[in-house]
Order: sequence, then structure tokens, then C-alpha cells
Amino acid sequence: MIFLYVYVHGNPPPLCLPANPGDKWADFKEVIRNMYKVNPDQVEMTHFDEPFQPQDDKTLAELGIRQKSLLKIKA
Amino acid sequence: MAKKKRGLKEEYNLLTRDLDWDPTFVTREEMYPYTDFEGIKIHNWNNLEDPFRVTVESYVRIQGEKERKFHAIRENIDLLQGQLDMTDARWLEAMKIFSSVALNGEYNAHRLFQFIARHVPSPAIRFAAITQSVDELRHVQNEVLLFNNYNKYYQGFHDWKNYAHRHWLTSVVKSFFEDAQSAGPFEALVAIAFGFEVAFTNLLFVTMGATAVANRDQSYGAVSFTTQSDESRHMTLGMMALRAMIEEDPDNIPIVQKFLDKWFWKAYRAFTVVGYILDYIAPKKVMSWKEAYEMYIEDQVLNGLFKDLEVYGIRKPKYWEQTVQEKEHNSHIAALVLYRLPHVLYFHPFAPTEEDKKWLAEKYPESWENIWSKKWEAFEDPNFDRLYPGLPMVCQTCQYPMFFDEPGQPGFNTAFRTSEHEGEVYHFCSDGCKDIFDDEPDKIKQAWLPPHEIFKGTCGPAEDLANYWGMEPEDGGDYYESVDHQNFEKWKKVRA
Repeated sequence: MIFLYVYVHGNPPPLCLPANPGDKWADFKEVIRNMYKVNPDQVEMTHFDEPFQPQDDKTLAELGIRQKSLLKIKA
Repeated sequence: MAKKKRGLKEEYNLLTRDLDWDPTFVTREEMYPYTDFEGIKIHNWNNLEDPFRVTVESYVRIQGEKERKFHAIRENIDLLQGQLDMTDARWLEAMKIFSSVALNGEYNAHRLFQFIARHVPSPAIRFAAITQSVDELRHVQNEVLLFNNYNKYYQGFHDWKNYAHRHWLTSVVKSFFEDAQSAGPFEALVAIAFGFEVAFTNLLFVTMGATAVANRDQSYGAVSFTTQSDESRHMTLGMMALRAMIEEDPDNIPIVQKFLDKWFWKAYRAFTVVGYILDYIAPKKVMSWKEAYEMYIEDQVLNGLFKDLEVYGIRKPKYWEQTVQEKEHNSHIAALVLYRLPHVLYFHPFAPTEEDKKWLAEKYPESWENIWSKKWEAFEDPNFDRLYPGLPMVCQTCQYPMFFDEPGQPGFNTAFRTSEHEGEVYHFCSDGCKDIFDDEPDKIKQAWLPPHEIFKGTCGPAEDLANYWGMEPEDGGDYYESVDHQNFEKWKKVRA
């Protein structure tokens, strides 16, 4: 298990979410959709401060997400 | 022939510093193993003096008098049955926060002073630290009795011990004291005597005490005044110790400066919740956080105390400009974020009333209309999903949820700072908190962060979390829907 932080701009504080590095992005993005009521397919995202454009069939680990990664979302 | 009465100075010497001895079975270094740990050089330990020259006899006599007066007042307040003269029971939400935060702080301060008394090889400091340790225990006991009184009539006062030790919010103050307790003896002294007592304690016991009295809560008024009478003694000793460290050796100055930078920032962050109490919770408000900050921190500490220390080469603490800038904003951010957490707090957050908003507009002309009133408007919209949907990310150092803004960009523009250590990333709310980590990463990396521990299962099953924190179902929720609010209104009518 890793912890991931998700911040939607203008909505402090960011959420701390547990995740499995083997989870597919397609599954994890549903957590974001439920928690923040945003459409994860139509937002601008950064991983830390790097642009982040995940593919649904990749795992979190394959996307470079690691322990305490920070995803920032501009909805 | 009648015995000659000893003078105060002779009495003090006989009963304190003359009780000191040079060890013969062990070396002095073995007896005081931490003296050199931080690099502070003291050439003559006798230069460290207790300005009050407290002896056991005078300490017991003076404290005994204070206790007698305090308990007489407290017992009378007990007869007031729920203090229905209070402006509103809403004030007690402040006391619930205080119950968990201050008790935790005072108890840990007692342990900290024991550590100082054991490890600073100056007889004057050691003796003064023992009396201060006893003071802190007295404060804890008086505060427990205060909550015992409130607990007869109001929710959220029944389990201060679990709130203080286990609740996610109190982890902020717990980590403050645990950091100080696990430092060397000189840093511990600066942390508590300067960071807490000289710099910030006035905000807690003077401003909040006056606010309690203005809201006709006699209990906290009495506690804060008897507590503050000890704090002023602690402040004087803290200043003496600080000056002695600075004057003893020029090599001490950069070390002391680093202590001051760290503990000013840590105490400043920890006190964020006091701004929330002054600006939002108090039904009748005496002073805004901004005004209190200007009076007690800017005038007395930044432009007063630090001005006096300039001649020694000590400058104002790092990031002081940011603290001055944030006085416009941080109480609002804290209130808005806490408003979204009524399900995981043992007090009742609420949105400001129309009367509160008028006062806030008057006190915060630069930020209320443009920024914070708009945020409240959005939060009070019936379509807004009030409950925060999970557990927040917290700062590795101060442990507040990450809600502080980027300096100079107020309005929910959350600041993020990170550091890498041994291949792991750590997150911070500010440069101040990041610097503290970067200076001692192997210490701060061990912080017990509540959201992580909850997910790891350390706090028991998720569905039983309220029980772990010591909460009853009525303790949380909005104030204006609470049993406390309903009872207060009902009892006032019955009495009228």
C-alpha cells in the first residue's frame, strides 16, 4: 500500500488516499471522481509539478506514482 | 538571644545553589551527559540566575495562596449550574478545543521542565525548572477541574484525555512538545520558555482570558488568570536564560538564532487555532487575531524583544514577514476548513452569523469582502457538499492539514513544499516547516502522522474511529443543530 495525495486547486486540504501501486489508473480515477465530483478525463493534472497525462490501462507504478506522490488537479 | 533572621538572598543561596555539589563517584560529564550536545558554551554556570530567587518556602506559600483563592472561585462557579449568564453556549466550543490542546501542552511542559531540571548544570536553572514543572502540573489539574464543571451540563468535555492523546487535531500540539522534549536541554529551554511562554502565551491566557470574561464565562477567566500569574515568572526566567546563552560566548549566537527561528515558527503555526477561537467562536469578541498579533507579537516580540537582542547580533526570526502577512487570512482558512469537518471533531464548528460577519468585515477590511466572505457564501450554498470526503494530507513538521496559502497569494492557493531524504519524499505547508525538517531529517521523519496511522490500522477499525478518539455521537456536528445549543436556549427560558 502507498499513500497518495490529491489536491484539486482551490479545495484545501488535499486528500490522503491509500492505493495499491498495481492498481490501474482506470480504477483509481473513479476514486477521484467520487471524492471530488470532477471528471478526471477532462482536467489538467500535474504529478508534483510535472505535467501528468495518465493512460487508463497503465498501473499507478507504471505511471511513475510512488509513495506520497502528489497529484494536483485543475478542474 | 533571638536567632538572627536570614536575608532573602542568603536564604535563597542556602536552599538552592548551595545544595549543588561536585560529583566524586562519576565525572561531571557523566552526570550531565547532554551539556555539550548542542554546542552551547557556558563558562560560568553561576552566571545563570533565577531573577525571582524562589525558594521552596516562598514557592509553597505563594502558590498555596493562589490555589485557595482559585478553588474558592471555582466552587462558587460550580453553584452557577451551567453558567446561564454566558453570552451563548457557543463560547464553550473554544473551551473544548482548549481542553484537549492546552492540557496536552501543559502536561508535556511539566515533563519538559523535569528534563531541563535534570540536565542543565546550573543550580539556579535547575531549581527554577523544578518549580515550573510543578506549576505546569497545577495548571493541568485546575484545567481538569474546569472541564469537570462544564461536563455536568455540556457535551464534549467527558474525555479530554483521549482527545489530547489520540485525536488527529491535537497531534499538532503533541508533536510540538515531543519535538522539544527530545531536543537537547538548551533547545528545550528555548522552545518552551521563549517559543511558547515569552512569545505566544499572552495570546492564550490574556486575550482568551479577557474574551472568556467578556462572554461571562467565569470558569476560564479564573483559570487563565491564575495560570498567567505563573507564566509571567516563567517568561522572566526564559529571558534570563536566553540572554545568558547569548552573552556567555559569541559561538552560541548562531546556535541560539537557529533555536529562535525554529521555535518562533513552530509556536506561530501551533497557535493558528487561537485565531479561530478569537475571530469565530467567541460570541462576544474582544480583539481580533490580527489585533492580538499586532499587540503581542509585532509590538512586544518582533519590534520589542528582538530589537533589544539586535546588539548581540540576533536578528528577527526567519519568515516573520510571512507571519505578519498571514494575520489577515489564517483564522478564516482554519474556520472554513474546520467547518467542513463536523463529523470528525469533538466540538461543533459552524458558519459565522450575520452579526459575526459584520464584525469580521470591520476587523478585516482588506481581506473579508474580497476573499473570505465569498468563500463562506460558496460554503453556505445549499448545493455545496459540506462534509470533507476523507482524511486530509498533513504537514510533516507542524502536522496541520495542508491548508495554508502560498505567501502573498491568499484565497485557497495552497502552498506545497517538499524534501527528499533517503529516497523518500516529505511534504510541508511552508518554508518554515521545510527548513525545520531539512535541518534534522532523521528526527522529523519519525513524526506520527494521524492520516497515515489511521489507514495503516494503528487506530483500530475505521468504523470505530470516533470511539478511539473518545467521541460520543452528540459531540460532533454543527453548533446550531447541537444538544448544547438546544439545552442552553431551553434552560435560559426556564430560568427566565
